[in-house]
Amino acid sequence: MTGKKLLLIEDDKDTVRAMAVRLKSQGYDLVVASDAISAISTARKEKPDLIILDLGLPGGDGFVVIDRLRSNCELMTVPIIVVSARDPKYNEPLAIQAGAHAFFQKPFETTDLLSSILDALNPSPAIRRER
Amino acid sequence: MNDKLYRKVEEADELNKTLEKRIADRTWELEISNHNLKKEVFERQKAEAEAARSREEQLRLKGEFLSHVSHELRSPLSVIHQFTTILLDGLGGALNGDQRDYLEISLRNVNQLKMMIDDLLEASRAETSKLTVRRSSVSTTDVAAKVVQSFRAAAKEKGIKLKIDSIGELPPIYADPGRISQVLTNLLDNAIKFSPPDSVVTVRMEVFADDPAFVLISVTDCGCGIEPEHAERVFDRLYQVEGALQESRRGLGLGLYICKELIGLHSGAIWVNSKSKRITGTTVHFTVPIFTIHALIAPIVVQDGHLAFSIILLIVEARPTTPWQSEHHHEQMLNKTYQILERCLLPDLDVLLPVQNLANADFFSIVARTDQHGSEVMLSRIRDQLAGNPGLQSAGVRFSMASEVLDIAEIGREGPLDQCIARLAADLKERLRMKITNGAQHDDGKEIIAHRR
Repeated sequence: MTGKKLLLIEDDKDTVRAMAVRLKSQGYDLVVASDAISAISTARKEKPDLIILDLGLPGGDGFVVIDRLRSNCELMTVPIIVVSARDPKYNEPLAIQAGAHAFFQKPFETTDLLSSILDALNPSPAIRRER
Repeated sequence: MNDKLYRKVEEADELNKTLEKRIADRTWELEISNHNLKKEVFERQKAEAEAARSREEQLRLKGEFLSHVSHELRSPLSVIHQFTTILLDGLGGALNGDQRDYLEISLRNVNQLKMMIDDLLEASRAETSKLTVRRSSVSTTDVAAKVVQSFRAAAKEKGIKLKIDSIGELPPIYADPGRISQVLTNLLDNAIKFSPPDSVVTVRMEVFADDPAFVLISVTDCGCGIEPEHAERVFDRLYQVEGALQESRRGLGLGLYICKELIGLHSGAIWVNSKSKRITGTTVHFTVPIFTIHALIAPIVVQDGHLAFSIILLIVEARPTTPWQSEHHHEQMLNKTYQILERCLLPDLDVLLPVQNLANADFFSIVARTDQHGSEVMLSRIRDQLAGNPGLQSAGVRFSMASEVLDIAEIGREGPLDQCIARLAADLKERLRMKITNGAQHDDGKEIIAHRR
């Protein structure tokens, strides 16, 4: 069991349930926030190791949530993985630029998401894109 | 006599006047008709412009609508996909054979639906010229191998053998790897769909004999073939061959249209051979341009003389401290260094040129789209990676490096870009050699970093 705590920010109850089954089966602890406003307070309170974020949220866009998380000194280093139905052609570069670790468009391959979570939690000394 | 002549002149005068009047009348009529024509042309042009504007507006609205619908469809589809895979992975309890089969059928159809949504969006982007490609230097073999690998399971299920034929040495292509994968995925999906069980589907790659500036990629199946009258039209939007196998109904008739648009954006061509007495099955061919340094740099140079990036030439020299034990040993070192350097590059911005051997040293040249600061970051990254590799250190290889900003304005004056890069590379190599020969700054395990603007 990994014991790592993940915060899932997602308003669709069915998606939350599916993600909960999948992530808990991998040994992650899961906390959930279902709108943009409670997302920040939950993140502050729970101090998750990683955040999975939907973009279309009640109370504010997912990009606003990224900005808020990135400007909070306690949360600025927590990796964020965006999982959204939105078009990756426009939204993926925006999300990466805003500081997200990865972007997945729904429906996504579970194995890809799980390996991205592992990668974000245990960054390898691989070459980063510095330029 | 005089009277007669006088009368004749008067008559001629009269006639002349009548004629002038008739000409004036006709001219007036013509002017009116000309004016009316001009007005009509103007009205038509106005109507056409209006129609074009309205068509564009319709396309834009349709694009927005499709984008909205696809977004709304994806979320529930994602939930179905997730729970299906949760059940298939046994997270909802053990499954019997039938249950597993049914769930696999569900999953296949969910994936099919996802592809249709993707196709709808892509077709709408193609109509509004919003399809984009991000080109870089790409290995055709790598792209093809990955796509073929992703079809192995589906092919095996139908008893179809998947074959890759790579003819001769294949140079890298200048393409968007994601887009080329998308085209190949579409063609292989069709090929497997239309092939009978126990047949072969082949992906063949070669330098295009008709134009060696392109690589030709062909996907061949053993299906029923395409009649000549359909061969051109299969690339039309929403076109489906009537009476084709039931399987074909699963698509929207957009796949090949999108392929044609994508290959067009790569300046390539796509076509299909039609059925004849000699040919059975279907082969779809497409061409993609081979990568050249010109292709990489040209878009930067043509931006109104205003450069989006500066371009740096980096040279890494690898020199053995003692002679190589064997050619194999040398080869191993080259491969290792090449891999390390590749890891230090950004594939969509930088290019590693073929290794050159000169005076017992190997030179690796990199053309990078970056600035002076970026090249320093790159050089220090390369230095760390090479120094941190125990295999290379124990082999007694000394590395030295140099970098130089390429002056684009000068390139224009000095003739072909490749020649200019070759000349600068030779210059940099010479300077590296001089420093090593002088021995002043070089110790084992350390390398010289030379910069010059």
